[in-house]
Amino acid sequence: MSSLLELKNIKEYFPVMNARIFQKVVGYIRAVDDVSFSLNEGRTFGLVGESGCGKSTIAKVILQLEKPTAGAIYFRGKALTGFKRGEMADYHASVQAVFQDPTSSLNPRMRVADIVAEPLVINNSQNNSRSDITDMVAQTLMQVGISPDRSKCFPHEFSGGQRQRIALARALIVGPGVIILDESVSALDVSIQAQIMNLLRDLQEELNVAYLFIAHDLATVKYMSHRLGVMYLGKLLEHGPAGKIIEERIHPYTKALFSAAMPSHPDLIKEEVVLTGEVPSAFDLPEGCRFHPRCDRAMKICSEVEPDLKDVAENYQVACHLYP
Amino acid sequence: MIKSNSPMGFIFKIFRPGRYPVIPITIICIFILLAVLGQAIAPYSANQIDLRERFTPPFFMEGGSMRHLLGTDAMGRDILSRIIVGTRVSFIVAILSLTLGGVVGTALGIISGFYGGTIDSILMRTADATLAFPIILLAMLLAIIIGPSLQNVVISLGIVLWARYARVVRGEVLSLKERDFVALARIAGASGIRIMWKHLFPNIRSTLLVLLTLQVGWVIIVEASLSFIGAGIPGPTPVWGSMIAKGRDYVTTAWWIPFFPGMAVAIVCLSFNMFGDWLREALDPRMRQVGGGG
Amino acid sequence: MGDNMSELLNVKNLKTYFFTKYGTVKAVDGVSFKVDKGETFGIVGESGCGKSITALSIMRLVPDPPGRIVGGEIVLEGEDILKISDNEMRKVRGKKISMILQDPMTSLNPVFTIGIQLEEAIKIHQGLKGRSLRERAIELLEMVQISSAAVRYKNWPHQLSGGMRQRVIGAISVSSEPRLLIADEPTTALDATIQVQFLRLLRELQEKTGVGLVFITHDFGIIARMCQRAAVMYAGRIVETGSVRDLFDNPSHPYTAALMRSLPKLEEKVERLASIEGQPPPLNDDIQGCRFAERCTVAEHQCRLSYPDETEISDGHFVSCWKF
Ligand SMILES: Nc1ncnc2c1ncn2[C@@H]1O[C@H](COP(=O)(O)OP(=O)(O)OP(=O)(O)O)[C@@H](O)[C@H]1O
Ligand SMILES: Nc1ncnc2c1ncn2[C@@H]1O[C@H](COP(=O)(O)OP(=O)(O)OP(=O)(O)O)[C@@H](O)[C@H]1O
Ligand SMILES: [Mg+2]
Ligand SMILES: [Mg+2]
Repeated sequence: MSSLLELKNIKEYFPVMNARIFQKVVGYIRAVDDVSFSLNEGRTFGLVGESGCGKSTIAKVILQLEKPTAGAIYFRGKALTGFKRGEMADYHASVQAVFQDPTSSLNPRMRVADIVAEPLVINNSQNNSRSDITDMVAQTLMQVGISPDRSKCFPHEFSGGQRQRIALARALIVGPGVIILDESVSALDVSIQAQIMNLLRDLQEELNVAYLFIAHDLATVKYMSHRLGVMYLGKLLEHGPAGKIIEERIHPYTKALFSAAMPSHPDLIKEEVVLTGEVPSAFDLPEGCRFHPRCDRAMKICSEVEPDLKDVAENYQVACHLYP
Repeated sequence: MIKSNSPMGFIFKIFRPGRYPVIPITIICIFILLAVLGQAIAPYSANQIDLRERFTPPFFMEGGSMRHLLGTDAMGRDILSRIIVGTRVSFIVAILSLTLGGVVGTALGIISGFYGGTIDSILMRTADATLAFPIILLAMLLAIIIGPSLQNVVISLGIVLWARYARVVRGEVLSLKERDFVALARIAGASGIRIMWKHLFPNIRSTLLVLLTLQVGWVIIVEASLSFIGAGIPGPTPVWGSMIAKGRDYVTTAWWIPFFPGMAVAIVCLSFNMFGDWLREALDPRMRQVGGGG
Repeated sequence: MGDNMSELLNVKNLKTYFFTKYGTVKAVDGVSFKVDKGETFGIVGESGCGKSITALSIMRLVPDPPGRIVGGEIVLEGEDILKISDNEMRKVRGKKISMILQDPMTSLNPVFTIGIQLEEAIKIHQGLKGRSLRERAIELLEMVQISSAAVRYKNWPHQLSGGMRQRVIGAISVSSEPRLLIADEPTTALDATIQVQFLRLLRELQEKTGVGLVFITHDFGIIARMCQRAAVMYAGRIVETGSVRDLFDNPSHPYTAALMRSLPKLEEKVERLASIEGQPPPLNDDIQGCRFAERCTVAEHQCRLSYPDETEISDGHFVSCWKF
C-alpha cells in the first residue's frame, strides 16, 4: 500500500526561557521526540495517549502550523521541504483538519456558506465561478447532512453536533487526501458522537480519504482506526494494527492505559493497573525509558538506555526492553 | 430567533422596544440634531454682540427674559445660541479624532496582536509612551508649532486615541488568534491580510463600537479642556470649552455664563457613557443564547 | 429500595427554572430520586440536560437570579432542606453535604497553599487548632494518597498536577465528614490513568467514611464502574432509574436503549453504531408530551400529548414511558 503522508523522525522542541529581562533558553520541552508513522489512502491512523503527550503537536506539524525542529514530512513520496509554491498550495488544499471545539472552529461573524467555501476561495486553482462554488457548498453540506437552505445562517444558530458537521464540510470541500481529526468527536454527546463517527466512516469509504484520528477515549479510537499509535511524553511506544494492539497490549504503558478504560458493562469491571508515581514533565525527561519511573516491570537497563521501536510482528513495533 | 449577526438583526438588537436606554438616546439624538442644524435653529447669531443686553440672567431669574432663555454673556451674546452652535464644533472634533485614532489604532492593534514579536514590542512601547505623555502638553506644543486650530486639536486627540484603541484591540486579537478558526484559516492557506480582515476584524467590531461610544464623552471633555486653556480652537468660533474659560471670571457675578456650557459638556458626556455601557451589555455574546439544543 | 432508616436523600419532584429574558428555561423539571446511606448513585445524561443544576439545587446554590427552585422537596436525613433558613442551610452545606466540581484548575485558590486551604475547611467544622489542626490536615492528604504529605502541605496549587489537585479537593470535601458527597464530573478533566486513581480513591474514602455519593457524569463506563444505582436524565427529566445492572442489561426507556447501542465498546467488536438522529429540544420550549418523542423511533400519538408517569417495571426499576 502506498503511503500518502509519511512522517520521518519528527522532533518538535519548544524552547523554555528563563523569567529574566534578558531571556535565555534554559532548556527544551520535548513535545514530540523522534516520531515516525504514515497515513494511507482510505485508512485511519489512531493516535492515543494522555494529555500533553504531543498528539496535537504532531497534528500541528503536519498542518504546517509549527515547523518541526528535525525530521521530514513526505507527501506522495516527496519531501515537503523541497516543495515549490504551487505544490505547497496543493498541500494546503490536500491536508485539512477538524478540531475539538466546533464553536471555536467557526468564525462567529461569517455565514456558514462563506465558512465552508473559504478553503475553495483561497485555493481557487480551477478558477471556479461564484455559482460553481455555491453549488459545491450546497453539495458538501448535503454530504454531511446539513440542509443547504441553512447556508445563510450563522454558526450560533446550530447545535454542537451540527457545527461539527459544518467544520467537516469545510474540510471536505477541497477534496482533501488527508483529514486530521484532533479530538473531533471528544466534546460531543454520546448520541451525536455516534452520528459523526458513522458519517466519518461513510465519507472515508466514499472518498478514500486518510484520517489521523486523535482521541483520548480508547473505545472511539478502536471504532475508527485501522492502525494505532500509543504515545507517551512525545514518543511512540507501541505502533501497529489497531485490533492487534487492543488485543495484545504489549507495552506496560499500553497495558496500564487500556486497563484504565471504563468498562462498557458492570460485569466487565477488571482490576485496573494503577500506575504509581507522578507523570514526569516533557521538560525534564528521565534518563533511559521515559516510562520507567511509573513502570511496574522496570529493570536496571530501563533507567539507563532508551529503548527503540523494534518489530514484534509484521508491521507491529514496540519500544520496550522486555521485548525483542 | 433574531439573527444577531446580520445587519438587520444588529439594528433590532439595539432598538428592541422597551429595553434600550431611552433618556440617553433621546439626549444624544437632540444634540446630534442641534449639531446638524446649528445656526439654523439658534434664536440669535452666535456671535451677535449686543452690549445693551450684557449679563442678562436666564429667564427664570429676576431680570431674565424669554428673549434670552439661558441669559447672555459679557458681550451680550445669547448663551443658548452659542451652545447650540458650539455643539457642531464639539461633534466634528469628536468624529474626526475618533475616526483618525480609531482607524490607525485598530489597524496597528490588529497587526501588533496578530504578528507579535518585534513589531508588537515596538508598537506597544510606542503606545505606552504616547499614553504616558500628558495630552495637554502635547496640544500646547502643537499649538505653539502650528498655531491653535481645529486640526491641532484633532491631531493631539488622535495621537492619544490611537494608543488607547491599539491597546484594547491588541488584547482582543491575542485571545481571538488562539481560536481554532484562525488556525483553520491558516490550514486552508489564508494570507495574513485575509485572516486579519476576514477573521479578526469582524470579531472586534462590536468592541470597537462600544469603545467608540465610551470615548465620545472623553473627547468632548478633553476638547473643552484644551479650549479652556487656550490650546484649542481659537475664537470667535463658539466652543463649549472656551465659553467655560471666558465665563470663569464671572462665576460669582454671572454664574450662568460658565454653568450652561459646562452642563452641556456633562450631559452629553454622561449620555454617551450610559449608552456605551448599555451597548457593551447588549452586544455581549454571552447574552446571546440560552437553552439546550439549538 | 431502602426503608426510611437507610434513606439518606430523597428528592421529590424537584423543579428548578431559570427566568431569563428569552423565556423560562426549565433546567430541572420534576426530578425525583433517592440515595441510601453509603450508596453511590449515578446521574448520567447528555450535556445541558440539567445534571449540574440538580446538584446545585441540592446544595441550594442555584444562581438566583436568574434561577430559582420553584417546587419539590429535598429531604436529607428526614429534613426538607428547602424549608430551612439560609443560615441553617449554610451549616448543612459544610457539615452534611459537600461537593466536588469538575475543574481541578479553578477549584483551588491560587494564592494560598493547599495546607492553608485544607486547614480552613477543617477549622470551620471541627474547631481544631495549632498542632492538631495541622496533623489532621496532613492526615487527610495522606488519606488521598499525596506522597510526602508533610512537604506537599506547603505547596501552592500550581505546583501540583491536575490529578493531585483533584485529590486535594477530594480531601477538602471529605474533611468535614459529610453525610452526602456530590461529585459533578470530577474526573472529566483528568487523564485516563489519573482518573482510575481518583475513582478508586473515592471508593476507598466512601468505604472508610460511609458517605453517600451522588456521582454525576456523561460517561456510562463510569456509571458501570462506580455506581450501584443510577438515573438517566434527558432534557430536564429523569427517564429511567434503576440498579446499574437493570440499566445495562435491560434498558427499557427508548432513549436509554438507543444510547446503549450508540456507545463504542472497547471489549467487543461493534460493526456499526446505532445513532439517535436529531438533538435534544431546547429547554425553554413548552413541550407537553415526552421530551424524547421527537427523536424516538417508537413514539405514538399519546407521547406527544402528555408526559408519561413513572412506572415501576421491576423491583426498583422505574421508567417514564407510555410503552409501560
Ligand atoms: N507553543 C508551545 N510552546 C511551548 N510548549 C508547548 C507549545 N505547544 C505545546 N507545548 C507543550 O508540548 C507538549 C505537548 O502538547 P500537545 O498539545 O501536543 O499535547 P496533546 O497530546 O495534544 O495533549 P491533549 O490531550 O491535552 O490535547 C505539552 O507539554 C505542552 O505543554
Ligand atoms: N444561569 C443560567 N441561565 C439560564 N439557563 C441556564 C443557566 N445555567 C444553566 N442553564 C440551563 O440549564 C440547563 C441545564 O444545565 P446544566 O448545567 O445542569 O447541564 P449539565 O447536565 O450539567 O450539562 P453538562 O454535562 O454540559 O455539564 C442548560 O440547558 C442550561 O442552558
Ligand atoms: Mg491536544
Ligand atoms: Mg454540568
